[in-house]
Amino acid sequence: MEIAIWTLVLFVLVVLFKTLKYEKTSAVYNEKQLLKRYFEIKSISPDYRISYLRDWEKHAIKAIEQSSESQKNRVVHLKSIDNIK
Amino acid sequence: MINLELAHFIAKFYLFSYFICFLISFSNKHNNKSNFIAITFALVFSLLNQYIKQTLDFYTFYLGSAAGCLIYVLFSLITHLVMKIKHVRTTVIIYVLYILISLSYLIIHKVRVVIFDSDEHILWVINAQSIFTLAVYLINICLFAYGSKILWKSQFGRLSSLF
Repeated sequence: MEIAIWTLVLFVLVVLFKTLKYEKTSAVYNEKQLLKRYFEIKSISPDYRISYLRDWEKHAIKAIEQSSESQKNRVVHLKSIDNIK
Repeated sequence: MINLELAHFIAKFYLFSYFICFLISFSNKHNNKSNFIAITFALVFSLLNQYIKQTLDFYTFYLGSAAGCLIYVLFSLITHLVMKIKHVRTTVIIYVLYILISLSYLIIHKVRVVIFDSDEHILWVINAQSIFTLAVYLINICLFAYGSKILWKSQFGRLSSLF
């Protein structure tokens, strides 16, 4: 009985973290933002729309690259030791 | 030990404040939906607990109350997922507080059953735990009231459209 409730505690914690992660990543919860974005792009005149979207894509790729850089392991390279090897 | 009359008064006060929070958030047009779900479940479970606690034994009393808190969190999580409503920061804090309450119940159950057979030696632990839970429930009520976005403009907007 007691062990069952301790497992329930763990289960609830896991479900909580899973749902919070799911809400962060899934597009279902960002519907309002996506709709806003859609109307913003739709309102641009068609001559400039493609160039605008290309610019936006470039910025997005840049942002993703920068975010991956920050997650890297920061290993300290000592040049003098590397030369000895 | 706390007077039984005082404890009953505190319980009634908390139930009443839950009900007021529920009414405020129901009447508010620009309501925070996740907070509303959390309040409704808290009200339902606090009413149910009054009947469930009468049927519990010495062994299952604290376990039952711990399970009640956890099941509350689970139910509200499931409803959030089914209705596709995003969690707000205050509801997550409320979940964490409820889990803390359940952990305190479990710890007291362990102390009660394993070390002592009667409650007379460890009354101070039980009192401390009850004070802790009451304080956390008070914080929860404050969070519910904060999450229901009390503003005079949007207040009773849902009700005024009826008349």
